[in-house]
Amino acid sequence: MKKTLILLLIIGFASLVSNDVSTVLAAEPAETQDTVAIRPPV
Amino acid sequence: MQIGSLIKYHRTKQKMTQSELAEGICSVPHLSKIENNSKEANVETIRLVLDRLEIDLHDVEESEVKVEVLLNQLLQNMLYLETEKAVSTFLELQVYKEMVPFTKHIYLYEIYKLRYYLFTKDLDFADEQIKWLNAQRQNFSQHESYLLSYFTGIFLILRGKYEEADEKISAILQEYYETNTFEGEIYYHLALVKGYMYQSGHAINYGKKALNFFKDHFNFKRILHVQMSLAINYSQSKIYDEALDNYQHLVRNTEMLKETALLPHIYHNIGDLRHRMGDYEQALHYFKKSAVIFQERTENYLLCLYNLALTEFKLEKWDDSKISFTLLNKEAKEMKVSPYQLYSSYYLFLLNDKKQKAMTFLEEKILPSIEKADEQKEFYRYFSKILAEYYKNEGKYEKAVKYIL
Repeated sequence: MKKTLILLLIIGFASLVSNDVSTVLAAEPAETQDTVAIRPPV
Repeated sequence: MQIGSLIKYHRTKQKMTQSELAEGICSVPHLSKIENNSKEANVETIRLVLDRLEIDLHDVEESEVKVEVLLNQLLQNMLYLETEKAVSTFLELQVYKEMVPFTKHIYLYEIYKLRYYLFTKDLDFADEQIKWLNAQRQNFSQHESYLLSYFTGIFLILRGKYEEADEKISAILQEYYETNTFEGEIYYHLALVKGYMYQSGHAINYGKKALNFFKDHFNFKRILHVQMSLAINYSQSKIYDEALDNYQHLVRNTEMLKETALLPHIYHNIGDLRHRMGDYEQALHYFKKSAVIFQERTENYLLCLYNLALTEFKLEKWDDSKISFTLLNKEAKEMKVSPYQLYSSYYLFLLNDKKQKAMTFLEEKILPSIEKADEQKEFYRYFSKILAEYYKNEGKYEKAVKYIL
């Protein structure tokens, strides 16, 4: 019973972490471009 | 003119003692006070001392005026990007090098020398000069102090330290009201820095201010540079019509002003714009047009080859892409430019169906080696994103998060 409870807790925690990660992934930062422009001289 | 210092300098250069120089003219303590600039000597005493040292006072005064004229000329040459004239003015100034420390232009001369090193991209000299100038800073006028800050800002841009450069140059706009001669340049450099920092709105704003200044002052070369900066930032902001419009003006103006060295850069950037618009065929057309006229053995040429190969990759022209990345790899190796060697190797792994190896190479070789290189920031963002996507698709979320910037 105790072991099952601990296992459930671990699974619960793991899914929580995984949810967090998914949220971070969904909120991707500013767009990254493939190509890079040549800047004018300084 | 610091006449006392000038006398002391020439006396010691001619290995004379104070008593030898003063003999029959004035007392030794009197000469000592003159040399330390702590006493106003009468004209006759000065004339006799200078005669003994075989220095013509008229020549000395003329030199001071000449130094002032040359300093102004050097500044104008640099502001209007007249490279050959700037080099020749700088060489002419060197004739008066020994005289400058005795004039009121001592610090301005050294500060313009810093600007000249930045102009000729001698960054190690510039670095040394900045250290020396900072040690003298307590003696500077407000104008000199502001010039040092501004030129240090330009140095930071050239070293790829954009955040620090932004801080330095923005502070000048807030602290000094009389930017006058440098107003256009300051706006221009802020536009560049903001562009590098992906703050396109600010970059466009400063770019427009710079453009107005350069138009008023007929600085045509800088007008071309601002138009390029505006086009890049419109492109980054997805205001594609404005970007295209600017590039069209640029091509026309560049041909009209015979600034043909800029043409491959412009064609390249039109390729970059078309790529962003998703029009890969047109992008490829412009990258090819650019590569043909690019001066080989330059880093920009390597960038052009990279973008060309990448566009072929996007268009799934696998054989063409393989040829282009192989050429890039070879050129980068010969030029000893390691980032492009790494980037091309990564794509060559992919093109040879070694995806797993490509990703390991990306994670273990590419990202660690460019992580701290300021000038490779845009590539670091790009490759991190690829790796994040890869791990996300593999379900390895913790690893994916690590590469989301």
